[in-house]
Amino acid sequence: MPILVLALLPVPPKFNGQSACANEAQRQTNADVLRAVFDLVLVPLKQIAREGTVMDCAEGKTRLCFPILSAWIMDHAEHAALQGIGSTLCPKCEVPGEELGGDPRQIYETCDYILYREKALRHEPAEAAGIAESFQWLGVKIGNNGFTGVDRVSPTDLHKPDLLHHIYLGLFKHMMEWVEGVLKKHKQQQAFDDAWKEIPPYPGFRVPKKAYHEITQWQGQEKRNLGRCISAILASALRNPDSSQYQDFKRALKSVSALADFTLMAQYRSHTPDTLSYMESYL
Amino acid sequence: MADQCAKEVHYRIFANCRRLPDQQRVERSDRRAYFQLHENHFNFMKMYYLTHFASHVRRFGSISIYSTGIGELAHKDQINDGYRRSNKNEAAREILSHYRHQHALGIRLRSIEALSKVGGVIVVEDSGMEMPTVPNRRTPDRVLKGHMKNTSTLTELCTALDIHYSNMMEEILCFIRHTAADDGQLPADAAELRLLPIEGFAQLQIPVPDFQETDWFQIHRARCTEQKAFRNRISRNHLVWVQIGGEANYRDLQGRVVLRLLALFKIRNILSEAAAVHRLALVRILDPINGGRFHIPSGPIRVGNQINGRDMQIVSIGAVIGQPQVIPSGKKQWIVDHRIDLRIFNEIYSIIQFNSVEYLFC
Repeated sequence: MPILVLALLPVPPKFNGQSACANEAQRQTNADVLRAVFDLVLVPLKQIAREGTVMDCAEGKTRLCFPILSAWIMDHAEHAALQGIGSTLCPKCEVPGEELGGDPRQIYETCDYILYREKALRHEPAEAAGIAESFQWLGVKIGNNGFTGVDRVSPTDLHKPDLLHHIYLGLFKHMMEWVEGVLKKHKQQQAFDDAWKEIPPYPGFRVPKKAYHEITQWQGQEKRNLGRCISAILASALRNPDSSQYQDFKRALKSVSALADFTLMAQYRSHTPDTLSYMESYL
Repeated sequence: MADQCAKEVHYRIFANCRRLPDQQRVERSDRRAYFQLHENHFNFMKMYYLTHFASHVRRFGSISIYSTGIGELAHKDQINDGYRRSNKNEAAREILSHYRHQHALGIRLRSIEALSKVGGVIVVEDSGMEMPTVPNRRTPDRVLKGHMKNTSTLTELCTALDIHYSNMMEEILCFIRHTAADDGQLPADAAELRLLPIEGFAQLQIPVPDFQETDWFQIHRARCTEQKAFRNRISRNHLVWVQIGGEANYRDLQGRVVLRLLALFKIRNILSEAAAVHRLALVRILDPINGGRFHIPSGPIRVGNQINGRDMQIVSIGAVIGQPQVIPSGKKQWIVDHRIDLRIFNEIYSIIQFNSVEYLFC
């Protein structure tokens, strides 16, 4: 995949913490600067998406092409800043903040950033309060989206699933906190550490050098390795349940395996409808 | 009257049977709702976003190409390296142009390589240069490496391995009987076998194709150092996967077994005209526990040392298909980690289809 550096973003000064008012002003300036920089970066794209340009195609012909921004690959926090949404909300659909851990089969309405922008720009003074309230309910900051000005771009689809931040650094971290809790509750930490030490080498797999509790900082690569061996290690650590622990252990192993299976499925390079339905069944 | 009663009872039983799954379903969804209300702490965005993954694949394709891993790496490749090579004066512009140059050259080389694979000699435009074609990659063979000294006959090999000679001979004869007869077949006679020259080896390199790739291979290096120390540590006798039966035996393992490598050797049949070389491996069988099925309470497949019966076997190295990842679990038992890479995960796959509700609560 060709990667080009387009621009280096300015680093905003830190909040000096003198007063809430000054911090707020600084925050506003930072947002404005970021917005201005992105407008500047996206200007050529705006024009070219509208008028098109002549480009060489792979088979040797030249065609009038309309390059369109289709993906914006970055961390969720950066996304939240650029799309102007709350950091705990989904950039794709209007799911309420307290239902994020709910039923995976529930379908919510898709976010329509262009509509939000129109609402924010063309509101009557009388409706202002109502609109502000609905935006607050959705967690959208008014008119702060950096992408709505670009033609033929659907800001909702810019956000892409991300293995590194979503799964390795997000969910695996959460899972390990939960696994540690289970181990502590059933006093199996020692068994887990023993199994952790005895992971044999495997081609393409880096064996951890430290004991589990000694690792303070995780890299994405290490987390990925963790996902590959965690279910077997846990099975080894929880191998001798007594009657009261049996159900707990079974459930713990199943949940961990489900996440590991989902992650592995997500790494497939090509998918069939079957693999997709398996992926959904792991949720 | 009695007949009618019996019919009614019959009917009720059937009705109950039909109703039972519905009841169970209701109970399950109740339990699920309870779980979500009271024990749930999964209320965060990253948990929720998983529901969008499958629809994303349907619309845009593979997930891994959109991962931020590339962008994070770019911090080092593009920004840090670019700055390091600049003169630190007005660095921003130099950083921007540095990577662009590198990248343009890289793309050019890659496209020349890709084009040269397609047809014969290609001419690089503007320069009049001709690039020779690169032959397509072919499947690499299994290679035996690390020649062991003092193993030139079967007797010597047995001494080195500390195995009884008669056991070894029995296994080889058994292997010869089971292989198809051809010109270079080994003689099924102990006295003749004894004279044949052999060579012992310490390492077997097995090319394993990458998952969903055709011409990329990963080399698995299975070592067996017999009794000797390896890099000043304890001796290594790695485990390997061997394809033995069909899918009927060892069902979830898809007809493969986990074996411990004891010795690797070449044996040359100098008595026949063809003087064919046979590459063989002496292995110890590990029994799949629970019939090679997924252990329902704890999930993965376990294997353990065989307790009785013939525990050694000779296999041709052609049957060795890779190395498993096993994690010790208790005395002489191992857990086969089938999630270690995508290939194994795809092949050894739990046949039990989990319903997401049952998955949590059964």
